Amino acid sequence: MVDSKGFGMDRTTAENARGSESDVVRLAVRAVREGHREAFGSLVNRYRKRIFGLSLIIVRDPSGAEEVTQDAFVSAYIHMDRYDMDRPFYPWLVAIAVRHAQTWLRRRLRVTGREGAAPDPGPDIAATESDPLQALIADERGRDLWRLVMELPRGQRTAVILYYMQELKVETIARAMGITGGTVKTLLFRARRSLRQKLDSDTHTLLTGLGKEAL
Amino acid sequence: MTCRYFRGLIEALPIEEWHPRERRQVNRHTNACSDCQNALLKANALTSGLRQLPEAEPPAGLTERVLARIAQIDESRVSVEASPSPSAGRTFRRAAWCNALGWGAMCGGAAIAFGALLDTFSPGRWSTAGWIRDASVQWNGILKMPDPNTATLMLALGLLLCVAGLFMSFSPESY
Repeated sequence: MVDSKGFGMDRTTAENARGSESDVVRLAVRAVREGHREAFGSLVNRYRKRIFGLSLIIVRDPSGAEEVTQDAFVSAYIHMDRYDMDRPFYPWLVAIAVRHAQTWLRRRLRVTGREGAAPDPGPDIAATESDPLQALIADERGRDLWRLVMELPRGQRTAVILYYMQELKVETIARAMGITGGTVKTLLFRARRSLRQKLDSDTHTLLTGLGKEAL
Repeated sequence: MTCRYFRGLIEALPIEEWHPRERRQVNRHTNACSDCQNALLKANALTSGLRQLPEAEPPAGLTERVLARIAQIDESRVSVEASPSPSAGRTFRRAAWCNALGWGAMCGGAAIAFGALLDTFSPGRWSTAGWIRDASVQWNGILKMPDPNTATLMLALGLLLCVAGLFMSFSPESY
């Protein structure tokens, strides 16, 4: 329930609503540990979209995002014995995906540096035709916001997608990213400030339109 | 509390991260202040805009590719377990040496026993048997043993060597 000012349902309630989901995941994890490889397929199917979306936001390259997604799932399978069953599965998977995405970015930076080119922050897929999300976002305001999110520094856009789009708690994001809760809040604050400034400078109507929809 | 305080709060954190007390304060203040109310609406608009962004659809066949890689990993695990490790190689070489020594001891023991038997049945006829007798007499002198039945002693020694060699060549390490 959201009131007129946006004081909505808190995040803990939203996470608790996924209780039955975590039971299913736990059963699948147990089956994988007992050697049933096909049970891992259900985990991949369940989380592939979220992990791919996260990877795409971080690496900003569709083929790189697929590579990162695959690597994250394979690592999770190999190290399944290290997963603590008392904790939720998805943040553990996110932590693996974030590490693989960082490794992928470092590797690409080395390659571009070796080739003599200036290390660029990555292809701006939001500005290209091949961006898989641009086609999905029907309205222009949403596309603008997506482009601005993709222009944020890596840490900020990772925190933004995990907090707003994937609705994880600050503490969970902090664990997944290997930083403190305070740092996550700082990243979110900077991201919001940056987005707001850019939106204000780009077009004033964007926020006005979004505001009307939110009300 | 001033508008500056509330603006800072509104812009700093998403609403969910506010303390319930702060929520109540902001709610009370924005009822009276239109500027802060406008700022709150903008902040909410940004939040809802970010939440409405769709997640990208993963490429087709992603699950199958992941499962194929996992299957490869499982197969390589099995082959690694089946193939001999470096330590297994060392064990194998040691076993081969034991095997060779065992066969050597067995053949040597059989030869000595055979020589002893020849000396028993035709003493002095075979130079080898005579050499064995001379050697055993010399050893008896060194070890201060009473004059034994040399042929029996050599036969026992040969058989002992033969049995020891047999055990060495058939030890479990050989396989």
